[in-house]
Amino acid sequence: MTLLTGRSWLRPRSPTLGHRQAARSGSRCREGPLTAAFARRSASYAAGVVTNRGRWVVTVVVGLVVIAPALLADPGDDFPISTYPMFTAERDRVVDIDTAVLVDADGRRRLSPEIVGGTEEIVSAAVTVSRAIADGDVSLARLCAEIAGRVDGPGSVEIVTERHDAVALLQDGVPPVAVTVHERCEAP
Amino acid sequence: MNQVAPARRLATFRLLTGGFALVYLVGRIPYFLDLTRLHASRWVPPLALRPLGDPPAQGVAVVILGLAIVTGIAYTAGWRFRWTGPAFAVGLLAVMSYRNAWGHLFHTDNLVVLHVFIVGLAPSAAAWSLDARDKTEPSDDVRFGFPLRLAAVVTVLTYVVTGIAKVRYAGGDWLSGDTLLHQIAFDNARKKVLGDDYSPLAAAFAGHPWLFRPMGALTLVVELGAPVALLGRRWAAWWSGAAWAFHVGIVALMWIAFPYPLSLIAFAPFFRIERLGERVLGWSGVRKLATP
Repeated sequence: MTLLTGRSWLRPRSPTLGHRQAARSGSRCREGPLTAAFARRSASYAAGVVTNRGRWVVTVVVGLVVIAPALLADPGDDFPISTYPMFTAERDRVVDIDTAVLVDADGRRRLSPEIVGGTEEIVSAAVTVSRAIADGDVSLARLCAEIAGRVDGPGSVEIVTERHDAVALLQDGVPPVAVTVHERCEAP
Repeated sequence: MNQVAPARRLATFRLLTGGFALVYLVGRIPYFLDLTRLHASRWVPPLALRPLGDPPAQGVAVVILGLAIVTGIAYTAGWRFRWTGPAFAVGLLAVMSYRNAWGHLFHTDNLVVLHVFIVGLAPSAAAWSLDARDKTEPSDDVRFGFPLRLAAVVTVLTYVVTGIAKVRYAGGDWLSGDTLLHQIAFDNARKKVLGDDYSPLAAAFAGHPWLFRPMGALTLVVELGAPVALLGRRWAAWWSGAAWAFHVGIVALMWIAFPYPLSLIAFAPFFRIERLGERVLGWSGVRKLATP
């Protein structure tokens, strides 16, 4: 199973090679009788001769696999080989943010990523809401019911798109310039 | 590719990658359990899990997480590494693919998965491992240097791909700083709307758009200039420092952490990291524990 050594899958071409070749291989031996050291160097070198090509092949193949998404005409993102498209999406200062809120007797409350998306990951929560909006009524109703089941109190869950001036929101907490309600359901 | 290295160097990388992955897996057990409770309609599996079709049953996912942790312990300790090395690589790929199978591809875990594959398929337990107990440590060899070199190449290429993506998808807007400014504003605004913590610096920086032009250019220099790290250790040190600072900047402005590069382990293959282990083993208490 040890594949990257080369020795287990490529045999030495010759068991004995000269000192100069052994020296060129870069193998070093610090201890042991001269003959044993020579044999070890020779074997190492012989393995090196054969596997040098193998190492380059492995490097080129692995390198191509990693860099392929950057070279292909229309690559899709994947894992663990990725196009790494983070932070490249075209954005404007005014942005639409999909989320879910709880409307109860106290007013409109924001919900945590755990309640909206079921995990602590905020991006996952945001993407879940966006996908449900894109998928339509059935997905929206399902997600709304899921969120309502995670809310700890009575009220209405609303799945919304809020349009914000992102910079103004960050600097001064300016409320959204528009809110679109896609789905509403009652929390138990 | 013919770089000769001591077995200890590769062993140190095994300890670092294994330790990092284990802390990650164990520390996020509650999160992984949350994932198993998500609705199947959210399942969008990445490549490795695509043959499954539907998400695995909750029990199966928990067992695979448990196996990944157990093999991770064996990988880190270097116990029966010939089998546990590849097994942990596959297990980590499975668990991290599962994490990325719910509608959003994170880009924080890719490199550690790739590095664990390289280490897991290499003779990484020839020193400082349970397998190497009572054995003479092998002399320096290319079979210990090559996997590290390959890991270094993979590190470099991931940054190059990231840089190409910015040029490809954002183009000139990235250099103008607009894409970066709007991305930072959007990302923090989304965190605020979704009730999460966000960068306290983002609001202050957003008021100075001119700052983002040099930041955008420097980001591209670091990412597209990554191959210089392969020219030698001094180049690698400069580039690694720049890349690390770049990740610190992402934390400061976007509150997004890439733990693997921030831990510096992503850059370890460039350096004589066995000295770190030798220093630790130099402490008498640790030496007693490590000596059979």
